[in-house]
Amino acid sequence: MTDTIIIDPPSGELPAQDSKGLPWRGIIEGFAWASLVAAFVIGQIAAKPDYEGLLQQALPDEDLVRSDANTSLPLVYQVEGSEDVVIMAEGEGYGGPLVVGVRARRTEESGRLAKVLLLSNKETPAFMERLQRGHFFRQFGGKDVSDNFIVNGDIDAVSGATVSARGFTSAVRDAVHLGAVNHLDLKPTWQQPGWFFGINEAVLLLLFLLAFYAGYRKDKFAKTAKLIVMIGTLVFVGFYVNASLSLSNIAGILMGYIPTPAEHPLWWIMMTGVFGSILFLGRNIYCQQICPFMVVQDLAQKISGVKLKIDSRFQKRARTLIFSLSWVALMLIFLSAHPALGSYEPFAMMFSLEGLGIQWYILPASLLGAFFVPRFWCRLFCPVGLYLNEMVRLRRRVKAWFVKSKTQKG
Amino acid sequence: MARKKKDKPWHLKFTWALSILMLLLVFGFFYQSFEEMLKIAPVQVAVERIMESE
Repeated sequence: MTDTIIIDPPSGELPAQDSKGLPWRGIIEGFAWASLVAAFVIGQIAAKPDYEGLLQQALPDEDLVRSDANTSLPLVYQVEGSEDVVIMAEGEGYGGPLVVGVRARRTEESGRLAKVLLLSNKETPAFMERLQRGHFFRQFGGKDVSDNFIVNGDIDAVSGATVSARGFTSAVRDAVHLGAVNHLDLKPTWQQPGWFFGINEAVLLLLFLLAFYAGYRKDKFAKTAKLIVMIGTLVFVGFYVNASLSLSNIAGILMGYIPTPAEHPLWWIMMTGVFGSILFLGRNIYCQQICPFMVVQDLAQKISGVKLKIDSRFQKRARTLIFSLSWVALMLIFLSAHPALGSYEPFAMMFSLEGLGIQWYILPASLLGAFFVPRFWCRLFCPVGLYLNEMVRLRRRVKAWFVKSKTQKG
Repeated sequence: MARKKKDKPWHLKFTWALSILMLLLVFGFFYQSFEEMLKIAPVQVAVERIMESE
């Protein structure tokens, strides 16, 4: 017996078709798609928040009377027995909508925030933990209603949870300024949030450009660029902004939870870079270079120096295995309309060191795997990698079909 | 004639065990999420809302 250990398959790539032999394949796939559609519909019907219920739960001692006939946000309530108003509004976070309730109180000259309540959110718990620990919510206490409420203006963001911070601030701003104009009769003196492009956005854009360069050129600088991207993505995308792509992002897009480019340019740069490279270049640049967890796994493997082969039974069924896992994850996400609920990846926890329950065991187990098996997580469990690679394959097929039909016509 | 089963090298057994461990943990996470989802009771809420609208 030889001890030669072969790495299979090439890094980040998955075997193309491995489930052709499965009996009842068509029926199983049909059931999988139908159940996902059903879960999506049920989740969307159930997810429409009961706004009044949320507010009554948060302010059980107050009698609230609706001030207008609106049925969609923002909603305004008058607090009985006082001049206070409570306004509910919505902002777009990283995982979906954030619903806030703001209680505003008239002062002699203007108005003041008496209370800010986060009534509903679909964020990854790690992001909300970060905001709590960074004392983000405390900044809103006692603020004037005519303040700007702009992140990186009069509100400080928390690194690693910037999109959530912007979503929350945006919801508060909408609520407060509506109340200020319509119910406190104030003239708008505040600054409107404009397009935001800061240092974080510039760094992410630069990382993508360097990744493209490193992927296409073979000169000396390409090697340097690859190294810069490797370090940059680990430090910046991983630990600093904690913006790894996960199944919850993909599910969020499918559910229509898309933040505005004006307020969340970082999200847009990431998505444009990832999906744009697939669409225009036919390459999965994210898994090849940008994913910070891939860098962590490569480092773990470099430290150990061990390259074990995965059991062939697992390797052959990797694609089916990840599809099955992501089916369960998507069912949970669609039914609950909560993208973070089914996202089983260890990324957010790796880079923020915050997780819930069993997530604490998934991270060390995946790192242990990476110590012995090169890119253990990517090859056997990562749904993002699978879907991005599938998109690349689909693009190739479409391109081949176009070329073929063009040749036939010619 | 029964074929003699080949012994697997230790590293394949090890990676097999690692993969199974990870799979169990992922299913543990799904169970945890499923319990969270039951608190929302989406199917029940959806059915109630559909009945209300009729």
